[in-house]
Amino acid sequence: MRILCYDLETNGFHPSILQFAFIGFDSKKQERIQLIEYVNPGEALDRRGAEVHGISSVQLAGMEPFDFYKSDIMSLLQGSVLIGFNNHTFDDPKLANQLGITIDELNETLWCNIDIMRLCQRNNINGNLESVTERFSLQNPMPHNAHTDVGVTLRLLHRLLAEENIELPEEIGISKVDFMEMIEQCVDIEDEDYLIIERESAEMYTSLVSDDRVQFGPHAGKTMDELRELDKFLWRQLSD
Amino acid sequence: MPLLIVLYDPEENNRNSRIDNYPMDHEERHVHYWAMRQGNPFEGLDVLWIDRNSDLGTGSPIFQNIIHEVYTNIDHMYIWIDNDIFEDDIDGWVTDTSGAFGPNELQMNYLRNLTVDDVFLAVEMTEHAVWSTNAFQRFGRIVQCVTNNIPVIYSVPVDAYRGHLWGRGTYNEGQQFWWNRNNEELYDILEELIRNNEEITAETVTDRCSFDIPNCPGDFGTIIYQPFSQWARPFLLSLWDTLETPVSFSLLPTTYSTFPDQYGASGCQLENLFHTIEVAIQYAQNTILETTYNTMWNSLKEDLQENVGGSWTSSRRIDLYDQYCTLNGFPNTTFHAYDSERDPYDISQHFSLRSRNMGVATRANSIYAISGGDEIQRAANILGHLSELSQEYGSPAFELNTTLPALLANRNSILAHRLTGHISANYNVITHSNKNCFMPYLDYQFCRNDISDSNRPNGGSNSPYGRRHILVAFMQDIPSSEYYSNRYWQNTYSRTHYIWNQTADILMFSDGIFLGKLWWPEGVNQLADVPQIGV
Repeated sequence: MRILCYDLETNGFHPSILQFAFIGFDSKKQERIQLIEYVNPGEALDRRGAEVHGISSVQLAGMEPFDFYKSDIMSLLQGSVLIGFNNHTFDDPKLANQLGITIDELNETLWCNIDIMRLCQRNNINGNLESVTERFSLQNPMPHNAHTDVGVTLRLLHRLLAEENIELPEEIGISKVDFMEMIEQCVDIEDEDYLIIERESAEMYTSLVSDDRVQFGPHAGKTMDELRELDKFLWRQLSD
Repeated sequence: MPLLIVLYDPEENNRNSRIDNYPMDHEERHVHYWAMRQGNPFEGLDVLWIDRNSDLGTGSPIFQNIIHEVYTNIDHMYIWIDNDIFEDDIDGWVTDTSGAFGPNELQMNYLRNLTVDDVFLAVEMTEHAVWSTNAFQRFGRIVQCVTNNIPVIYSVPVDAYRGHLWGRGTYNEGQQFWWNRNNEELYDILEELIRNNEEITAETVTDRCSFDIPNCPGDFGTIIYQPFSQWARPFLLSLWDTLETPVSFSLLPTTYSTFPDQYGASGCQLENLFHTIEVAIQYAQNTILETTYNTMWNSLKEDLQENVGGSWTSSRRIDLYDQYCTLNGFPNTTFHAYDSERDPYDISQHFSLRSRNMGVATRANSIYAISGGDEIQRAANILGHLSELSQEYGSPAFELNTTLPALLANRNSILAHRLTGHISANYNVITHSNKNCFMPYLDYQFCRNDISDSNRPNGGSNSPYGRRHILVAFMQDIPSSEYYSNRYWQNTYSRTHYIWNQTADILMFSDGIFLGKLWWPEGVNQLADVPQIGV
């Protein structure tokens, strides 16, 4: 059994792929899988898209074209449980297009193809990746980066299963516990970069200076002597 | 061997026409890339030319420390490295896009640890004249550098000729007509002039051209002469005096929108710019005295001040600015009109900077006087004004949630700066930052304490706490939760406003009014902790 979660960053709404990330685990070989690359699309970047994903043409100039990775990706896909978020609508058609196959041919290559967004919708959990992950106290440390998108997608799936918000599709053919263990082999579930951690609230000050220390702004915690060196004007105001 | 690092704007390499990208790796790079033209100050140095956003294949930007502070694309930033960490790998010029640069882990960590403190000069270069939105929106980048104590040179044409119906350097229909004419004849001429290090002027180009250039027949309208903006020099002077960091112009020759972009000046016309960069490099190298370096900057400042004239500042810097506005009934204006018969009591002489009119849709800025006998009354008055402004733009009314810090409540006036949102399909405040240039100018030049300090005639106190007004960043149509999300700051437009948002005293969103960072209590790291003053 091999699970493989993936995401693509594309050139706006063009089919060209700029970055792909496949992260997974092969239980038979007990091997973690990670194939993450930027790709030279060989075309000008869509300006609006570039504002979203932040990828520049210079960054991609020295990269290989997608064709260079085709055979590696096809090998990975063979017999895998493919996982994505909104992949049935967005990523799968673009991946198939770039691989030069149809969606049907893509799905025939796989063991099965799971779209977490659709699993969520069946259970009245609606929204894009960002809003759904936030609802489950998860966050993406670098939104619109295929690598971290996959990272947060896998963690979301793990949490959804752990909290029994969705059912694991039967077609996968293994138990929920085994499947969750495979996700744990893919990513560090406890990585704090992906967790929204409730912190103790900061308390509003009642006085601008207390115990000779500034209570607000970028100089909060500094002594008045230290403030004098940093901002003479504020120091004078607070001294008065 | 010491090394100079040039962090360049990635857009430099997005030259899709004519030379098929990457001018700095092109075999004729001394023609195609301004910084490599004849007389450039980098000859004889070991130089690493590297994209400021480069991740060198690691997935995260190498210069994160720097681009966190200076996040929009100023054209060049320079760093001088004295140790020999790159000695075996860089000899002469190396560019990151050529594939010749592959740093080891030690070198990578060294680069990662560089900060804005290591940058000794930034250069903004444009062939767009300083009257267009394109040139004005660059001021935001300059403010980012100066705020971080990086001296800046803004290299920009002294004046311009442009088609009546089209601007300069925007690749529009009119320009492409000329640029493509006769199998790109103008490109050939300009490149030849640069290759020979001959001046690019209307005469030298016309002499070589087989067709008449100056007139624009047909759909392209007539030619218009556009002088240097009257606002540009005073703005840089106010930045310099307030933030106490050198920032000045280096003027390029007259620009013509009929001439293809990126080829506005030969090396011989960049001598002043190259000289300034060279002196800054020598100062970083420690091969010249500090007095020589300071003399260079002082000379540039004297030129600026002389051009602006003493009367500009003495007649405009009014320490009674707030009082005048109050007496006027405080119209929603931001600045006095310039005129020999200037009358600050005349409402008709007020206008909102860079707005077509005072209508809700186009107005970028609003000002209100604060009244009230004590801090509680004044806080209520402040909230009342902001609530009124919010409703004017179709957002809800707000009520006072908590009192304001006394230092804030006791200020004279509110300058509300609308950074986002639009209510007209034809007008969008956020498309260019030019609308956002003048509120900081007003802030630095007129509305801070120390305004009468004769040593700094163009600026006020360097401290943002030295304001006599409350600076409000009005984030129309943006909910607070969106503003404080990671995703919001991925957007280019958001980042161009960052410099203003971060220094605002108050942030007003579509769902609440909050204290700005300057007034947060210690330990705020989530939206729930940000003090909300209007609900």
